Amino acid sequence: MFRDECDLERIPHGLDDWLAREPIYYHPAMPLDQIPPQRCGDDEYIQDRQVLVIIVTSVMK
Amino acid sequence: MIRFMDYENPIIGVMVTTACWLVTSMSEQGMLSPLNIQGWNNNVHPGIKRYIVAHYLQFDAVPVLWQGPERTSKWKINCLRNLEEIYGRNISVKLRQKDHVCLEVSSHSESNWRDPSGYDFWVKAALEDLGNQHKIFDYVRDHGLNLLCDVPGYTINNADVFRTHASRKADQHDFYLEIPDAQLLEKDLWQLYFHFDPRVGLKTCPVTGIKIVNKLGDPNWQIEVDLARTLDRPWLSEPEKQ
Repeated sequence: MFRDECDLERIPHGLDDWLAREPIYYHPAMPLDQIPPQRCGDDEYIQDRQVLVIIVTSVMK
Repeated sequence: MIRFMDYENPIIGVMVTTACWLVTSMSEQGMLSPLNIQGWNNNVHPGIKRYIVAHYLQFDAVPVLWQGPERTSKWKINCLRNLEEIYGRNISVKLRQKDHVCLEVSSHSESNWRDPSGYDFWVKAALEDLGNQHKIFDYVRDHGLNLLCDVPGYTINNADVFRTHASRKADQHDFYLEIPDAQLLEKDLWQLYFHFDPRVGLKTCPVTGIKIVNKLGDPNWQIEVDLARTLDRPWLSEPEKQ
């Protein structure tokens, strides 16, 4: 049960047909180092994301 | 990090407060929701924050929903039922037009919240669970990071912002790290900050024997976490560790 207004899955119309055509795969345990490097949308976001990466992966003293 | 608590982008400040919620959850349960990876443009979305935490915890492998040219043998998703077999029904799905039409699946099974854009609203769940504050952050800002270790007492001022105190009497504090081997004091133990969860009474590392003792948390909430993996991340440059 969701705590917002909806208690059912939210699925776009026609998804089944789309999935039947598109290459989508599930990998239950992909090695982390095989996930490609990330690309971001704009410079400001990149800067903020770098800060985010820094603060989550280390601690600024 | 104190300065980032009030960072002008509120997302960053909130992350400093709430990342521990994800860290504890993933320490206990692993990564429940697969990362969505769009292989055409090498993008991870949704799931980038879990991706970052997976690196912080040094997971060997994570579940992935991969779309784009196939790279290795995987389970092909052909229909909605296949998605439900992976995620269950507590999900939001959207098709987003980028350079390709991208499938974005958010699982809400961990947080039970959905944000207005249809993504998992784990931040709201975290803020609610934490009472909109990070009591340990406040504690270490006021009292420094106290280390219980069999060494003569000393204090380090870290860039005049943080203080680290090592002593044989640190257990007098409400929050401290128990360090069983003085050689571990050579590590940058502030890297463990995102393991500091105000709710959890005790986190113990089975590898190093380090204990994160939190008398302000639930004494019955005790978990084992491999803190050695966080302390030994060779890809981090030295300035990032400092």
